Amino acid sequence: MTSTVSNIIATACTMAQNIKLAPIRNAAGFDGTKIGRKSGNALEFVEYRDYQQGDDIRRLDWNILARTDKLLVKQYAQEIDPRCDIVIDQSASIQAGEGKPDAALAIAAILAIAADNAAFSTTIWHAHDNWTKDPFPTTPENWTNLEFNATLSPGQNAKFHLEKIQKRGIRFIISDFLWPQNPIELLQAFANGAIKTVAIQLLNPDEINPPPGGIATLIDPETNERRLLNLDEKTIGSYKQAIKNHLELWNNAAIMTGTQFIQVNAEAFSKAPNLEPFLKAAIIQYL
Amino acid sequence: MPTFFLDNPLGLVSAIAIPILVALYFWQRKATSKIVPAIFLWPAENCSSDAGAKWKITRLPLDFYQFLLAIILLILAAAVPYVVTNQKFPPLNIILDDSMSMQAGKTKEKAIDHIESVARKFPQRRFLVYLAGHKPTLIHDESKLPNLAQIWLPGKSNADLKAALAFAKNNCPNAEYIIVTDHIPTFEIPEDTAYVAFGKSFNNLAIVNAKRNDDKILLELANAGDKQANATLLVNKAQQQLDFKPDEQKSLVVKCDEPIAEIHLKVQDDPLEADNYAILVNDYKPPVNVKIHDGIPEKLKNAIRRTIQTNINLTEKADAQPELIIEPASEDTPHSTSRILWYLPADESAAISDAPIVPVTAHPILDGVPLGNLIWPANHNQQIPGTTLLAQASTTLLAIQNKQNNAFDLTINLHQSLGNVHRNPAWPTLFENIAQYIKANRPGPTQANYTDNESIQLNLHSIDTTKITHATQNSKTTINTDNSKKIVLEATNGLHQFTTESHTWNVAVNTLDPEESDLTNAASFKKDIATQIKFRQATKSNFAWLLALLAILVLIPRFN
Repeated sequence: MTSTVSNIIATACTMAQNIKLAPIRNAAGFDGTKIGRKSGNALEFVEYRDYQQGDDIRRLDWNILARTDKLLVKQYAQEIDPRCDIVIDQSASIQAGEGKPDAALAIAAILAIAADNAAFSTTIWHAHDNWTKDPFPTTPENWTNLEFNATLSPGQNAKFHLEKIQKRGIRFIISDFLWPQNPIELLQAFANGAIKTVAIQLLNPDEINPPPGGIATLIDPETNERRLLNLDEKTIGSYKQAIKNHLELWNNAAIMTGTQFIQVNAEAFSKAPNLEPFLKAAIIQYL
Repeated sequence: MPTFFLDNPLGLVSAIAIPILVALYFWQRKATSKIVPAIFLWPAENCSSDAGAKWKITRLPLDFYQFLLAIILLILAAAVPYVVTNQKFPPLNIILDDSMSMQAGKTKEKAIDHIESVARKFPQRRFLVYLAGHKPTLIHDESKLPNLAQIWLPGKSNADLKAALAFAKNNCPNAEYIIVTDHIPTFEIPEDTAYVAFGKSFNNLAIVNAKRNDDKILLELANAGDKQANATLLVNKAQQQLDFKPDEQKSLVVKCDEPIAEIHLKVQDDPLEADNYAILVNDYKPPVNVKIHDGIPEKLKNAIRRTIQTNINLTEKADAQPELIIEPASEDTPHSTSRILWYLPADESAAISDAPIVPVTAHPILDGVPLGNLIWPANHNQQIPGTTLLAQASTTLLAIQNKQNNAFDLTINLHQSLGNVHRNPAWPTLFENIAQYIKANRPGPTQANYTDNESIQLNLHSIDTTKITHATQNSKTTINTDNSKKIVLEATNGLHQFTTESHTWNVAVNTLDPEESDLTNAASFKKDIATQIKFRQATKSNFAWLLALLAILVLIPRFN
């Protein structure tokens, strides 16, 4: 891990100390702060409360009733297992944009800490050509495999790896989503079996609105395809229209698959990480 | 297409911008590569040539052509007006004083600097360069100034600037003229002529004249200036010290037995070396050997012999080959030697006429022959062959017929009583002229010592040669005679040696002139022809501004 990456992850971790993932309905298990209503394998007494009509009479504390004639019901915190999977697109194309790898890791770190603060069982997926789990998901400073050099984008290989992800969890995917494959296929597969899916798109302003330039050879870092282009206004105009259509396609696919789609300015975020996009999207909340 | 890119330094420098621009564009294209995350969003290549082309020639962007056009316009702004005005500018006729006084001090260097500065203003105009010596010579006519230091080696004894200007005006009318010399004008300078002089007054000690007759040398030495001077005179190895008062002129007679006399006047700190040297070749020519035929009457024979005895150019040696035979016209048989054929009319046919004796045809033999008071008894009915030289009424008294090898037959219609002809000054003069004429037409140079305003003449008759070697101090060339009987060469300063298989002749040429050696007259002077130049410069300037403005207009869209 380079010092730049270390610094931004450390910053992200500090920022995420006081936040947690926002509660999600129908999650697999409860938020760790909720009191369990059912007995589990690892019940932990929390407090007493007055008996209410309808309470299971078996939960009455008979010893207290015998000593004090009070009807108190024992309450237990049920140890539940809410899951959070965070997929970091580590394809080489991410490296093409200034600050995008740093932003991707910082956002992943914030989400991982927030998930941990919310007692989620968190998994960090490094989406290389083969997706791998990070052995220290909740301690981002210990993450490994942080190179952005995959030659296959998630659009090409996600369907082979999404089966590894457990169901009924919350899933985040952090990428620029700049690949030619149909977004619906990925988002459908990503949302399948998940309680909630969030797609965080990292884009830089000059990727949306590139300035005109002279003649340049454009290189795709994943396929090594090259195009010699005169980046005049006509070419730029054509590109702008293409990326606008591409983004619309993803937005529509997100709506259709119930995926929350958040766009982040990667360049700005890498320079000054902030929680605002995620607070605003109600993904996280303060403790 | 004008070659202003090469000829005009400004154009050349500007033109370099074009390959630089092209190189920059290609370098930029080669060097600029950009990694993009989504190449599929970009359009297909728009810079490639048609598929299948052997070479991938990329289409350059519009801004490249805009910059290229702007650069070309700026080059034109800088260079084309230069060329246009140069081509329209009238030719510049440069008249260079070719006299030796231009060697004094730094006159020549200053003059060259001035001409080059004038030429730089319009370097592509037509330049005609003339050397003004005794006669003007055009030595250069091109659209570029030559290396003047190489072609201008002033050393003549005089420079006729007025004649050179007239020659230039005749050769190239409606042009501009500049006279470059070392003294103030001695004639009125026209409007279209500039006159610049870079002379500086010096005291100068010089040989101003040198003549030789056999072993005697006459030298005239002058100290032009207001200071005393001393010098060492060297004639070959003999030397003598000489002191001069201010403005003193000395005449010396020096004896020299050697065939070539080199004369040096050694002076300390002399501003002009060229006039301190002279070379003279012994000009002795043996007298003409005369043979008098036995058939010549005694009275006539005696009169001729008296003349021969008193004339050093004539001799009568029986044991030597005659150059002139004097015989009666009745002996007229073909002969290759020059002859005087005496037509001796019989007593009864001879008569004296009162009619004046007049020259009919100009000829060197008649030079200076007094024709007054002559009593010339002749046969007035006699037809004399040849070209009539002297006649009395319709009677030919003297006629000449030229033969091969410059020989001649001179026929004289004169009764043996001789009238008063043999006692008249015409008699010895006539024989002297005949002797000189024969001497002058001998093979070899017509004289041994020349001045640089003369031409060296070589007679080649009776010499069986097709090639002559001509050697000077600095060169050796072979002259093909083409069977010519006379060769004329420019007399350049120094010793000339001509060699055939059987003969060797030396000729000396000197450039001595008292006026030229008087450097006290040298001065600075300047008269320009400014009005026309200023007018054309304004035209050039306006044209340049117009093109520069166009270049800016081309570039304006780039900055919007």
